[in-house]
Amino acid sequence: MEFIYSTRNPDCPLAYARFGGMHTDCELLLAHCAEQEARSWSEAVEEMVRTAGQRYNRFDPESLLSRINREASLKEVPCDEELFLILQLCRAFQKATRGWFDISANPSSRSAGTGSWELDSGKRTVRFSREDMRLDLGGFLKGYVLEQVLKTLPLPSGQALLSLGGSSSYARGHHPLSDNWPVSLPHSYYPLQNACTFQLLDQALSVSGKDRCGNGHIINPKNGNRVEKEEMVTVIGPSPLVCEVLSTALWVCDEAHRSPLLSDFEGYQANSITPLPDGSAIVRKI
Amino acid sequence: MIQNDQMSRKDFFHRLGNLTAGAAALSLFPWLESCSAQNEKLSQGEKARLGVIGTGSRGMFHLALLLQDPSARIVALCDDYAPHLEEAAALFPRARKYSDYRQLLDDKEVEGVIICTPLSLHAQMTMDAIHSGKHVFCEKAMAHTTESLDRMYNCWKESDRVLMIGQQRHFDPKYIKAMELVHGGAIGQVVGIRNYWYRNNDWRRPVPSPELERRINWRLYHEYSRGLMTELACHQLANGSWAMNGLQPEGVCGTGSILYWKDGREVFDNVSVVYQYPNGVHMTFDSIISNKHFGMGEQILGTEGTIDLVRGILYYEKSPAKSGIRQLLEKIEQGVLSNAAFAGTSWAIEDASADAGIRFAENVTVNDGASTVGAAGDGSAELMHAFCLSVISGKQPVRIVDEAYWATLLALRGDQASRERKYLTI
Repeated sequence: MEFIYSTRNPDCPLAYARFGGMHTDCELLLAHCAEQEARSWSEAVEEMVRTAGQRYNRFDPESLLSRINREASLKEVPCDEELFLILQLCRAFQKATRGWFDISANPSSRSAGTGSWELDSGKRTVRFSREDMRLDLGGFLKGYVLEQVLKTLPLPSGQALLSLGGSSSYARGHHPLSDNWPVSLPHSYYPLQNACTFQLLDQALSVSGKDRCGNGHIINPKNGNRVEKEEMVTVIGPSPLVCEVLSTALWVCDEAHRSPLLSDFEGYQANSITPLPDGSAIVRKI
Repeated sequence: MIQNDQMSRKDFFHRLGNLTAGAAALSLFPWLESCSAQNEKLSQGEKARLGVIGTGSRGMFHLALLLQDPSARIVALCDDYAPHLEEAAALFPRARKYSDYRQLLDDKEVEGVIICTPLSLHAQMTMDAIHSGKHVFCEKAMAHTTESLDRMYNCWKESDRVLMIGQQRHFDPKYIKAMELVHGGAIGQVVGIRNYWYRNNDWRRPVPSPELERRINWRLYHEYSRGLMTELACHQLANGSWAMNGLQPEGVCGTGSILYWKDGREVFDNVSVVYQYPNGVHMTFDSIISNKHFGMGEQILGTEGTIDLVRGILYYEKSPAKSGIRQLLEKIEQGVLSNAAFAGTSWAIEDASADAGIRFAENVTVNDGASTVGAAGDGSAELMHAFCLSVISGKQPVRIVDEAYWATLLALRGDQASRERKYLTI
């Protein structure tokens, strides 16, 4: 982990931490926090991110999720308490988003839709109804981990900005020189320019779209097609987990279903952002 | 059979990546106007009545595209090699068959001709077709010599006929979008252009009888072709004109040899050519046909970034990567309020630390350059469709012949420089 503690601005001591986890870069910035407290907290966050990455990475054959993907079409696979909770949450979000959020809709799974994977609460097991089913927590996990960080690792004193790969982030309090945290989304084609800027205050931000190499890695659960829009969807709200799930669902879903879907989640705002080759961007409120 | 979608303007501009109403693309690439909504509307329900001269491998490639184009009707076919003519006639049994192209040019029903013959025949056939009142699509390169190139160009210039040349990159959405980024300043000042084309095959077609060797394998003999420069480089050299906003090289040097395929051919099987622009920028073309590892590559190098044209990827010199919060730290240290520019979609799986570049065109078809006939998704279908619309409307797409003229001139001068091993002015 890269850790910097700076007192160059005597009015505002700063701690910065950066580490790899869940196949991306994670960054933390803490203002007005004592050095040792900041370091300990950053290490705890890193541990939490690393653990989640190891347990729920479907590309790691040793992970719990990989075991489920290998075996659940053959038999009921027992889950530990946390994984079962995660799967229950995913099922609940699937219903709440009217099927637009679906962890079985991913490029390695040819099955998608309700009923393809079943949970047994009594036995705490999961079972697939089809052999070609695979689960992927890609549109869920960063938001979940951020949520867990906020719940189980009380933030040190002062203001804080947390980012897991830039796609899931949380701002506690405000920028030391402002009354909120101004957070910008760089333009896809011109990364040194910003497509738009948001003001966060005790809020999470999630961004969904094709990955930064331009690959459509999300599957539309309603038709099984890879989603290839140039557009990105951002969601801002109190819960990092809800923001992540909702941005995934809104990006995938049809234009007509977006507003009704968003209105079911009180306190969340969403935008559609389409970067254009001339350096501008179309930003529309959903 | 080559699979291609039916073309429409809507599809075409969708593939261009939702450019703002196509306006930006049209100002940089005015020949795209030939696919404009107005031309599509005017041509609706009409078909260009076409004759194809030369029904060998490239001719058949175009015929397969035209078979699926609602704006095309093939009314005549011509080839002096009977097996090729019969192969094409099987696809279009109602088309009239000719063994002499002059007879096809006398066919009153033919409005436009598509010339897919050996390079040495292009100029004369094109001029004869224009004099017969036909619109012409001629395969690239335009001509076999600089003298015949000028005669062909002037003949067209003095006529009111449509002329289009088989430079399909002019209609390939990823090239068009790439050049928009270049001219939008995405990669800063252009400081180099690199082109290469590597294959590992002898570039031969099967010859049923020895006396047909030069007719069928015309690409290998000086009398008919300029080898790698006119058959391959000609496509890639057009990139320079686009990237340099119409500026053309002032000189060229090069070399080449027959290194591996010592089978009686006369043209080089490997070449290296360097073009110099008046502002000091260099454009290179390298080709070897006894090693295919690197395939085909075309890159525009800028002070701030690199565009990989073949793969549709933009790389920045300074990876903008994931340090938005790190930069914010420095700003707060200085007491400066600034945005934290770090938000974005996920990084590619397992690739967060490497600079995988930015893919700027969707659904990119990467042509590895291995095919000696043509590749699906390379702009050929769009180019053919544009020719059909131009035949129907009688309107010449703007600037497209000038672009092709320069691509051919550069190829011919590059060939001459590499054979004479001299620096030549252009």
